Amino acid sequence: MKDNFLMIDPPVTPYSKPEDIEKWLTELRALAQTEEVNIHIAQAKEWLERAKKGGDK
Amino acid sequence: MTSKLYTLAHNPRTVTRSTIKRASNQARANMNRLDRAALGDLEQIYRNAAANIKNTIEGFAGIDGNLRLNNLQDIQAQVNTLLGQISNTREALLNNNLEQAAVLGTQPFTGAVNGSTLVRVADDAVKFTQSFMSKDGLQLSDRIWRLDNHAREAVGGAIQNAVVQGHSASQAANELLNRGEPVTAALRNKINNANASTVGRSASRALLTGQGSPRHNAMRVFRTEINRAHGEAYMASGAEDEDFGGWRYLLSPRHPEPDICNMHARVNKYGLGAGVYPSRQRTPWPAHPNTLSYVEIVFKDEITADDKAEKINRIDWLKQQPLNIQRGVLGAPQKVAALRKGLLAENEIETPWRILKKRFEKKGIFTADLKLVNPVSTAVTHTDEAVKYVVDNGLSTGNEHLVAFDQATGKELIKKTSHAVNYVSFTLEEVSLIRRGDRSIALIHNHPSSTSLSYADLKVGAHPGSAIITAAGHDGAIFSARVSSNFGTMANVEQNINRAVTDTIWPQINSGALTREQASAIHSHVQNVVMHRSRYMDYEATFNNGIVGKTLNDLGDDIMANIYTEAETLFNEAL
Repeated sequence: MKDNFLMIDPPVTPYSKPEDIEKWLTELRALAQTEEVNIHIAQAKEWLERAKKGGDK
Repeated sequence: MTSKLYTLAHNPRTVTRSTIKRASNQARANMNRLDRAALGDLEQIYRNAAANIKNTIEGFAGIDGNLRLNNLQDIQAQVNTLLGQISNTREALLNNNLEQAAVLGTQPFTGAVNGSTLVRVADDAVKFTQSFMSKDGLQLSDRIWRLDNHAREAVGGAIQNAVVQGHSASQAANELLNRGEPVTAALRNKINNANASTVGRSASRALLTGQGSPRHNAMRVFRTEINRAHGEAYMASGAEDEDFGGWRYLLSPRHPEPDICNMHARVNKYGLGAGVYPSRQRTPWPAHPNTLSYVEIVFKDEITADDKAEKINRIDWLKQQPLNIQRGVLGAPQKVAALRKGLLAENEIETPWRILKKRFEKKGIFTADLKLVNPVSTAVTHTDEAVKYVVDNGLSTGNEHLVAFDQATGKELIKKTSHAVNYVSFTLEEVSLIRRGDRSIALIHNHPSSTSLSYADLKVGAHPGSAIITAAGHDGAIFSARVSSNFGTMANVEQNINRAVTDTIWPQINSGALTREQASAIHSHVQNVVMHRSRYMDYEATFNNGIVGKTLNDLGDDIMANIYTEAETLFNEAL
């Protein structure tokens, strides 16, 4: 039976290095684009943007 | 839970109530600091006194360095004077801290309650604490008298024993020498017991060392009574608020082992929510001396229809708990067996087994039969087995594994891996299973990172059929949450909690208070603590010296208290 829901535990956090968050984004983009995956992509982008600025908004 | 949020958002007193909640958090953090400072000052008083006592005793040393029996009374008198000085300094310190604690208890209600009322409430709370008579019939003054008496007995006894033993040994040695016989090594050692330095050290140890020492007992009295003054002032102030709905019993994150506090903090006895009580008289706080727990005001419109519907008596609640909680609350295993056989009444939960045993025997109950034949409950067996399974497999494959079982029947429902490090996938059939409201499913999975439950985990745990979601770290840590069924569908919570914690932690990283690695280790845990404190779920963490626990220890209570409070404030403001 086809799996349709992923319970995702990100390997990175908002404080991870930008390159690690980018790597995670690449992994997410390789998955089927379900609602849950898209939520994690949006979140990872937000983390990445801030991590690149050293925590500044 | 959704209705709670929307009600808060449109109520004109929302700002005041939100201010009270934030100030209550701050007051608890301030109380923790006051507690530490007071105990530190008290420790210093006792250490100074111990040093003075040691010096005084050494001043009585004879040429041979030993103390003489004929000096014993003078030594005792001088030592008692020094112990009396402890008493005076300590009393001033206690009174000062009682006043500060009571004022901290009233501060959250500044602006919401008349100022002169708060001044009176703080004053009354100190007087209440000073005159409060506990179950053992003792007031604070009695406990202080016992502290002083115990100190005189412990220190005086240590001095007297050493001097008398040394004197007797000296007499015996003289008799031996007069008879021309040698003095044995054992006898020489006993003579040395009266050595002034040795006696000084013994007296110091008697005052300071170990549980049950005068210093330890004094610290226990301080923590108990300072916290009492704070809690009484807080509750007397909050009861004046027009929107007062009840008192929530808050289990301290530092609470070491399950005990009766776990029940007080979790049972929904009055239909007001977990651990919420309708009045001061019905609030079982403090449950025991030396408590680390607090209470928090609950406003009327925080109490939901679900809270009212989920009212449960304490016996039924206890029956639903795993063995470690049942043992922690009830104590004796015979009481746990009685609970499981339906013999324990609600008013017998706190009755000691020795009394209950006689009561049961009068009723014709054969108490020898009250044994935990299988000491591990079904639920614990399955959870432990499941944790072992997912961690063992996770360590061997590096991937996430998941087990789900029905808590009511123990039947295993799901056991799987998606062969991925960062996720487990569910089929449609599995999703529909955990969506069924008639199920009570425990979901257990491993986290190779050994960090706490992710937000995605919580969303799975929020399905109607999910009773509890657990993440087991590869380093021994275990994180569990019981999540409200509306949680997963609530708009903005995920974004708000993430931003609240991130906005709190980034400045701390940039100020050098913690590293990025430390921040990453605690990020999910902080999110979960804040959501637990904000009543979105019941969250529990067992660290077992894992990375999260180690990081929290390294950062220390002060930094973590600031992080929790700041993140909670930002989270509640965002809502």
